Amino acid sequence: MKLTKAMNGNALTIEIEGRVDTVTSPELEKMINESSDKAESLLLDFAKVEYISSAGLRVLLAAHKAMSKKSGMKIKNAGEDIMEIFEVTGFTDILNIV
Amino acid sequence: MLSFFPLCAVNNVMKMKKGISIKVKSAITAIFFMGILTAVIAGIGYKLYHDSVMESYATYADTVLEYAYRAVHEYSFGDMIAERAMPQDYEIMRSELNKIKECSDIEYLYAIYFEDIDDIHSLHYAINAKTQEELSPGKPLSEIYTYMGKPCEKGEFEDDTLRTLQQAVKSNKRGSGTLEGDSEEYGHMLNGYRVVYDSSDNPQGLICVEIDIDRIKEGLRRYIIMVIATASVLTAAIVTLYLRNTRRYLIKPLVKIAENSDSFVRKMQSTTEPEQLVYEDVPVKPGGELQTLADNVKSLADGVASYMVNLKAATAERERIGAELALAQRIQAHMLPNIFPPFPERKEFDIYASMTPAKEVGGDFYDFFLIDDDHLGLVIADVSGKGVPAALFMMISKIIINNFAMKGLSPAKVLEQTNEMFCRNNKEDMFVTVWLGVLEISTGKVTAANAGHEYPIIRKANGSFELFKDKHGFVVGGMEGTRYKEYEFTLEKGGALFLYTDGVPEATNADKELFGTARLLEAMNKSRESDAKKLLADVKSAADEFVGEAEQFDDLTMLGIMLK
Repeated sequence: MKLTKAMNGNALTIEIEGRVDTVTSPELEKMINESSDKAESLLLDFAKVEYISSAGLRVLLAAHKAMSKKSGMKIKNAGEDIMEIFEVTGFTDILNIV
Repeated sequence: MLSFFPLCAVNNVMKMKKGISIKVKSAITAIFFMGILTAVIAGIGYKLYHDSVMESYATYADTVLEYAYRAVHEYSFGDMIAERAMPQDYEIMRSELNKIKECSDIEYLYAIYFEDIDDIHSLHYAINAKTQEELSPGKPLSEIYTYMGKPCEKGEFEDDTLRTLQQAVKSNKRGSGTLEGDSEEYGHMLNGYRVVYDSSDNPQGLICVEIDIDRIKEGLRRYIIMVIATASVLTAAIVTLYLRNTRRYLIKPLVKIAENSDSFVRKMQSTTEPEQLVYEDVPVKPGGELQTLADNVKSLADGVASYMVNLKAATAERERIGAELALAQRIQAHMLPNIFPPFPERKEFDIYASMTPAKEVGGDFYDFFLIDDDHLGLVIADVSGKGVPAALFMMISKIIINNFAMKGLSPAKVLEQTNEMFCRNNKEDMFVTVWLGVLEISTGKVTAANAGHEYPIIRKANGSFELFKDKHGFVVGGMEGTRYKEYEFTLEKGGALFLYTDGVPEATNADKELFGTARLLEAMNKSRESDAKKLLADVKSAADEFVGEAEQFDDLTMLGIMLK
């Protein structure tokens, strides 16, 4: 997994590439935790995400909860496979997917 | 017993003693170079000595020759040779030459001429001077003296010498020349010669002086012996000194370092108590690179020793954790219904389930239980993440869901209440996906709710397995106040229900391809097993075959039930 972070004012964008699973998700969690204090909003770019496991979903859930007190978290460019995972797990109901 | 090091290290230690020691190598090198040095010095000395001695002999020969030439010139010896005549002056001249020979340190003083200048062997004597000593044996003078016209015998002169002399005459050489000759009869001689001319200035013969230079060989021999003897003594002294220093400042410390490291390595291989591994310090005089080496070896050994102590502790810790994990694995496995058939008296259905964790313990679980005689609860769930954290959450999930379901709550209510319990104190945002169904055994009616779990797979009687795209709610433990929708379907007699966790469709091969629900359905339909256990085994082997050598990444859990 490869992460690219961009801070525009207080809007944080993280571009994720590869697999978000048990092994890699702590890295994403760390990056979100480090930046979420300063960020007012969080946008996750899922264009290059190949796979997300339940460990990755847990990170999304935690980030979603943390950002819901501010301007919220959005996910964009999620592919078909990823959307299927979001749908099956019910994440489509709570996440702001654009 | 803990064994930290491979056996090959032992062989290296054994090999250390083999091969030529530094001491022998140093001695051979020193002797070799001193030998070369001696040979070069002796060679140069020999050449200089030889050249210098030869030059002084040549000068001396030249001086004597000059006197002799003046004497014979005074008596017109050239004319005597030209006429092959011995007038009265001949004997007077001979006594002059005899005097010259008497006073000088030469072997021979004589004159010669070529009868035929083109024939080198036509050499004749014209005169030959003698000393008093040579004249004294008592023989008549006619036998001792050489007179004009006496032919030279073969072997008295080398051909090379003759050709030089002949050339001097032919070329009207003025002044004296020298050459070195070596004849069997006279040995090694330095020959000084000068062409004698008659009164008409025609070359007639040569007057020659010979000095025995064999005696300089003796001098040279003594010189060489001296050089070699001195060099040998010096070499011996230098090598001894060098070896003593080498042994003291290089070999002894090196051997000590080698011995200490050797004994350390042996201890290391034999000990099971790394705390007792101590490397003895090697004091090295007078310091320098060897002290650095000794210090570094000590640092390395100390490092290895402390590493081994840490490793032992770490290994013990790992073994302890491993033992605990093994125990946890057994506890977890026994938490799930694992005796099949679980309800031997119930002939209406055939149920089988299995869980294969990716790590020692997993976050997946299945469960089934009779709520009452006619109602069978079926659960399949997957906790986010893997390993111990997931296992802890899995245990509590299983118990809570079971408790609520056993109270007779509907599946949706069970999930909602479980969710409320989890959300009350869930700082780590752990969640669990659950499919919960209650089967009415008598009718085959299933009431179910899905909290973010995989779609169930259903087979109608005489039909094929198909994905049942049910209504999904959010995962349990994710959001407070989540509501779940319930739905119903009927399982026909001869039909089957297959539940699984994402580890099955997401089993990944070496090319990062997922097994997928399409392959899963294909495997199940191919199986056509009427036995739940065999069906699950077929799915497992199809997934294993697809994954091949790749590592199992996720927990793999399946539950199958067939109505009869």
